[in-house]
Amino acid sequence: MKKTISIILVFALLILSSIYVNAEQDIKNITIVSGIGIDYDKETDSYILTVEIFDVNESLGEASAQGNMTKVMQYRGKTISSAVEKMSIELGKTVVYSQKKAIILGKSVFQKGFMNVVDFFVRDYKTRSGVLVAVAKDGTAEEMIRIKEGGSAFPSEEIETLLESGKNNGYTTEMDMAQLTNMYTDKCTSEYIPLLSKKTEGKDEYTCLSGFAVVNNEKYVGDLDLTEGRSLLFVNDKFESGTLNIENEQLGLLTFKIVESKTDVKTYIRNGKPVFFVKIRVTGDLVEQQEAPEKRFDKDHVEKVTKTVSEYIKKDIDKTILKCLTEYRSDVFGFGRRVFVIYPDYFKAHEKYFPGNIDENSVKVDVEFNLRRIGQGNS
Amino acid sequence: MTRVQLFMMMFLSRVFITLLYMPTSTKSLNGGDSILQILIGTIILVIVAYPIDKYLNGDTKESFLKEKSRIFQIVECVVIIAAMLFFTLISLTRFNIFATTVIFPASDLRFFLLIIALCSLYCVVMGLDVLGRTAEIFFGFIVFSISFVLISTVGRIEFINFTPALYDGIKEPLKQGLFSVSQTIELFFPVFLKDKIKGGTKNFIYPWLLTTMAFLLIMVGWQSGVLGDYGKTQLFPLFSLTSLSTLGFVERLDAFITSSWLVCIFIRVAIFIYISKDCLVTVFPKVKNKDASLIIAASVGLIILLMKENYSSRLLLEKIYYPFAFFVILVIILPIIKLMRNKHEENNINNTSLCASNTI
Repeated sequence: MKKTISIILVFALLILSSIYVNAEQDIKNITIVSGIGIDYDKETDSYILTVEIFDVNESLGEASAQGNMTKVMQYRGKTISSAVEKMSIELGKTVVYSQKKAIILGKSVFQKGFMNVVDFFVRDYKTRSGVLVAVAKDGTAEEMIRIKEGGSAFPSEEIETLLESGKNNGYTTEMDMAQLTNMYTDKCTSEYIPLLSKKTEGKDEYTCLSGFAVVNNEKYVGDLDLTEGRSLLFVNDKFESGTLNIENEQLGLLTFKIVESKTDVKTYIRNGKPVFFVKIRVTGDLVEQQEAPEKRFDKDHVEKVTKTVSEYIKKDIDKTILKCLTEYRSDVFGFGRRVFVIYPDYFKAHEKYFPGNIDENSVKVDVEFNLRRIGQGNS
Repeated sequence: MTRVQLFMMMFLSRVFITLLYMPTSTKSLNGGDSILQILIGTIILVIVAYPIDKYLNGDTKESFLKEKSRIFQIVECVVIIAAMLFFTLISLTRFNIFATTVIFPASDLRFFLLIIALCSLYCVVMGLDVLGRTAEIFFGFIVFSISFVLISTVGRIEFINFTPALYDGIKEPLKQGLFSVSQTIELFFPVFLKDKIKGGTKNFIYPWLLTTMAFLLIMVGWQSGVLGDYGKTQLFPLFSLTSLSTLGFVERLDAFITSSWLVCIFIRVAIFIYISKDCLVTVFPKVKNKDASLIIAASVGLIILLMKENYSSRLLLEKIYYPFAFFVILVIILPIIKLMRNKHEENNINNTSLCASNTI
């Protein structure tokens, strides 16, 4: 009996903790923010908050039974929180933005410093560590939030799905608030954030992935296109799957489905300088072959194919490393972090040179491609 | 209460402190140092637990509070009650900050805390066995929920998040290691409850200590590997880790998982009330057990009602002196005194029997 009563009591406590809500959070009195876009207006020195909101009362009406169930509103404020406060005042309801799917930043926010924006979301009670972050490639975050995604019920959900799909196609990866803040607080790594751009098909507008924005020392420094983004993922061991198209005079037009990629970075100090040996092992299946002079996959041909693919991937990676380390002076690969972790004494003595001062010649990349299958065909 | 139930109860009580651990407001430890501070704490605790181990392995079946000197007994009881109320206060303050930060932001949860105190009181009134069984039931649930968080975030662990230990010197990890020691007041529980534990307390303390600290080490190491420096920006890093856990398409499991953490505070407060109640009855033998429990619970309730949430309450949690002073008295000094007393009594008995045999 005692046991039963104590169990009931404890369960009652658990349930109480889960269902307790403020009276003000009555479903009729709440407005759910599903997406947030942030731009910065230099002239007025204020942030522009564009939000996609879902109002339960309005959405229950017949008019919104089909198509887009959200509306877009805009608020301004000297700080993000003051803009959020304005939103709450103007809507006259409790604003719930813990359900937001994505935060899109306009490039303008980097003018004032990236951390000024992130600080609010790091401190904020209602922001979850897993909320996805992206940057609007062309135009503003507002434009991205206003895209209707072909009349989708919840456009922000489409954006979230798109950002998550990046890791499946191997061109981008999802970047959440936890990862982004981790990169930012790390004194030797530059940040990379997925880029979104607008695509128009007839009257419909959609968002699409466009690579990565590179951010160094709170400032936006440049973009990486989709191919460069893929190379970045290879080096950072974040490539999960995707397709690879290779055009070669001898081999024709080949398409591979990459099923696995493993990266091992070895860090050494040689002649007083850090050197990095990046070994990438890629496994893939041939999914299509066009205009191929040689059809049979004998030993020599397989060797030729694997060598070509390895060189192709390596060439892209070398180009991307060169671009990031020399043109952007940004270490998005975490090389400096590796020095910090493995050679803390060396790092301490040379701390002021990080990030952005990794010599591109100190990075040696080796790619090994393993052809796993050639599909159902036997030639 | 059996020794297994005591083991589980102490485990849940200690895990609560780590689950709701808040990095200091002045300096957050990096990944390597976070792991190191647990190791430092473990080493210190292993040394400190030696007299406790000796005491628990002894054959005496007497109550911990039994003393020849009435004055010493009263002083001892008053100190223990003060310590228990202090640890109740900091546990509730910690939980209050956690609940009003991440569960119900900007809400006044004093009523809710009172319910927890009432439940703890009920458990204490029902007896130690009920408390033990409650711990037994929820032990598996808590371990499973924490393990689930760890497993579901394994893919996010990155080698480069394990920053080198001692990069900023030994001072902070040592300080935090001592803080970790000062919070392990659970070492006092088996000492106090020795005569009430079925199955005895021989070879109990080191297995508990090493298992619990190993579990905490895994939790903190995991948090460092997954969150990296992001953990330093968070008030409750282990909650942030929990909020990243998902089960396929089922997301936001943190609300469910963290609700299970409530059990830890409930058990922790219950055992504090139980020990205080025993001390109160010893000081005032005419007071009944039930009434003593009510008086202690009323004091806890008063603490809750007087609790004022402001930033200085967080700073109070960072202070090491008070918990450390109570820890030293309860976990080091009192067991040594009892150990010496037992030794002295044993010698007296031996001498008496020797004299008796010589006379014969």
